[in-house]
Amino acid sequence: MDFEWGEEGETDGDEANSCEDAEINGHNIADSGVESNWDDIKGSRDTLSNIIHKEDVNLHTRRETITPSWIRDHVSGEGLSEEETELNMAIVTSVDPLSYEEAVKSYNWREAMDAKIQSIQRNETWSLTELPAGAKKIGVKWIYKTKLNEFGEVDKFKARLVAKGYAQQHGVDYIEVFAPVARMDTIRMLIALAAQRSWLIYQLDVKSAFLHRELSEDLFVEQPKGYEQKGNEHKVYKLHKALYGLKQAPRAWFSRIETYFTHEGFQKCISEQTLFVKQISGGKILIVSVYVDDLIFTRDDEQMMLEFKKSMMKVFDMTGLGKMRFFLGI
Amino acid sequence: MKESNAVMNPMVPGFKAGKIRQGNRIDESYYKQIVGSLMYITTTRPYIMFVVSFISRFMTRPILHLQAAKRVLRYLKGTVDYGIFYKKNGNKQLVAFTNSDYAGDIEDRNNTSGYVFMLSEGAVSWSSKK
Repeated sequence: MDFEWGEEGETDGDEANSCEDAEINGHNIADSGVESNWDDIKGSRDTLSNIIHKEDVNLHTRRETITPSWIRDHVSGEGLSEEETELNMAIVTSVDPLSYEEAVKSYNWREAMDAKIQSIQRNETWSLTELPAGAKKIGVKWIYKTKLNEFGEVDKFKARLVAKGYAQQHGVDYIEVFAPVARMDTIRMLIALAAQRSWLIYQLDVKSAFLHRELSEDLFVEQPKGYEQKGNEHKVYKLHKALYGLKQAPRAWFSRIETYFTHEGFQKCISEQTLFVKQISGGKILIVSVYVDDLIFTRDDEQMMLEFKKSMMKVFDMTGLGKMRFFLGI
Repeated sequence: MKESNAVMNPMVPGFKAGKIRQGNRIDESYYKQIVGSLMYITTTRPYIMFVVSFISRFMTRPILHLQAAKRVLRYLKGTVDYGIFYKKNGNKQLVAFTNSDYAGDIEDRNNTSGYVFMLSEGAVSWSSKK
């Protein structure tokens, strides 16, 4: 609608111009004479633009579009009324903040981020250095997630610092990435066994599981948003331990915990990599299953259980969740 | 499916179907969604393992099979509060059951075999495979 009206001036000359323009398009508003006021002009402009718009549509007849079969089960927001769009947004949008700027406004999230940075520093995950020539730095990003418990209530606010692992190159930044997880059968077997022997099952959760393992490669990440060191903004962190999002993070974590279990005298199950058993004299037994950063364990000896828990909490930063109630969100 | 009636079994006994080439085409995505959801629920429901593995063979051009899938949903409706219960001080032995269906597939005459391992009177591991 390239129909320019310009500023409607109060001068006669301008109005006359407008009238001329209108007449060209077949709409005579000159009836009201030179005295025709602003409202009339505005009104005629609206009808004009309507007509032009209609002509436009007629000129460019719409090409018929066929939705490809693979996106037929997707819903597009096209053709929804404004209210419906608003409703949709309310449903789809999660309450978790998407960016640092959004999160920093809330006390809960600031606290979560502070805790995260502290945990990283306590673990001696990184140290500040100059970026060596030829080395690449990997970006980092904050991820926010509200964790729910089994009743669907807010459990805790979790801030996570992730590395943009998709920027890593195979052979340069990482080589092996595989890490085993426990099979569902194993977990069910553990539960059944515990039930049969009337043992109790306990659950442990490792805080910052992936931040525990020493890295074999040299990796550099940029400083996280909101926690840049004053005067050193151009420097980067050299990683000593893995970070979430890195390609080798899960593998690094698993081999760390595996080393620990072997060191503690556990035996690894031959057919299930994630099951560790420790047996001591007198038939006392402790069974542990690892599902990435969730551990469940059962035992027939209180003493041994407490020792294990104490030693685990000392070596790793762990939260004892007590008796098992809600595992892997199932 | 909200107003459907529950049924007593997840599959009509003896129901066989191969690939069907005639009939009204139905929405494949819809069928796949049902099958995917049912696969997830086999984590705690060993007894629908066979029928889930059966209906998941007909992801392309499902026709009669949608009815079979819906029957599973109707069965689950009647058994929503079922789960696996491991009994305290239950059976001390590991019990296993196995069965197979010789040349049961009407298309290629392949066998279907299945097993279930029970510990403490609850199933811990199961499978049904063509």
